[in-house]
Amino acid sequence: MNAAAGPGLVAGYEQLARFIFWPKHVYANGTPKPNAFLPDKMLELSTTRHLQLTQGELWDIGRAVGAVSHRILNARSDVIASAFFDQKLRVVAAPTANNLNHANVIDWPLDKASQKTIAQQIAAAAGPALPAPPA
Amino acid sequence: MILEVPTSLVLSQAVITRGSSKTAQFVAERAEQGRRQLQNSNAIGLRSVFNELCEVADECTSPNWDGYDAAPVSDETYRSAYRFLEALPVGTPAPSVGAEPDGHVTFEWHRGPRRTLSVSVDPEDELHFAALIGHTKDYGTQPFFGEIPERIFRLIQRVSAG
Repeated sequence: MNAAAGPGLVAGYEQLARFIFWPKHVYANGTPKPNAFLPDKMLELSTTRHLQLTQGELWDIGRAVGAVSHRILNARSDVIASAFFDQKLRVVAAPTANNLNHANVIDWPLDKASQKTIAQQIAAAAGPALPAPPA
Repeated sequence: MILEVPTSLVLSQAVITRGSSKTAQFVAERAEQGRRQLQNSNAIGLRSVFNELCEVADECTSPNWDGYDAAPVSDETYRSAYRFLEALPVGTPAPSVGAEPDGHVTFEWHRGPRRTLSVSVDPEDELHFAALIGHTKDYGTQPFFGEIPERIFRLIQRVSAG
């Protein structure tokens, strides 16, 4: 089921998927690198809420996101939302046409070094980078 | 012949103080020349890291290389990153190379999620670093004037020790 998420905050217990498209964002031992959790130029980190999605539906969303940005999905790492709250970040629902479960991690500091230390702690709390199954 | 140089000995030479006399400058230049030759040798140098840097720069020359609209790695950033690598003392453990959404190049010394150091090189020759060692965090920004700042070098030693 592709549960629609309205605007608002995401709960701390929710699992969030971070899709990884660049293979060098994953260590050889299969854990995600901190760089995979750095915010984009809008100071947002794009994630997908699991909600009631099946594994297959999650991977389908990742592939759809990749199709839009012309990138092949490489992996996915899951992070509990409270790991972001621990870093004084907020997670807000931001549904898009191809991903109703999309959520952005916001309130990143402007300072680059501060962003890096946060990304390291998020990576330490994140689950392994699960390799994308064949389409 | 493979020359074995104890890492601790080489690392201890990291912070080089240069004199201002002509003789001191000549000695410093020759020492630098020798150091670069050693650095570039396959046996004890960072040749594979230079290759990795080249590969990363190549993969990230176009925008959106990460699928999230990342900025490309510019020629200026590549040059700064190359000079950073050249400045690493011989015997320094090899970092891995990466890139960041703003187009900065990353050098990473990683022993585990809680024993890791990441140094970003930007086109303005600033080094943004963050280390996580156990529950201790250390992070900040230092200018790069062609030599590895002592604070960063100490972190490389801490992360790589043991």
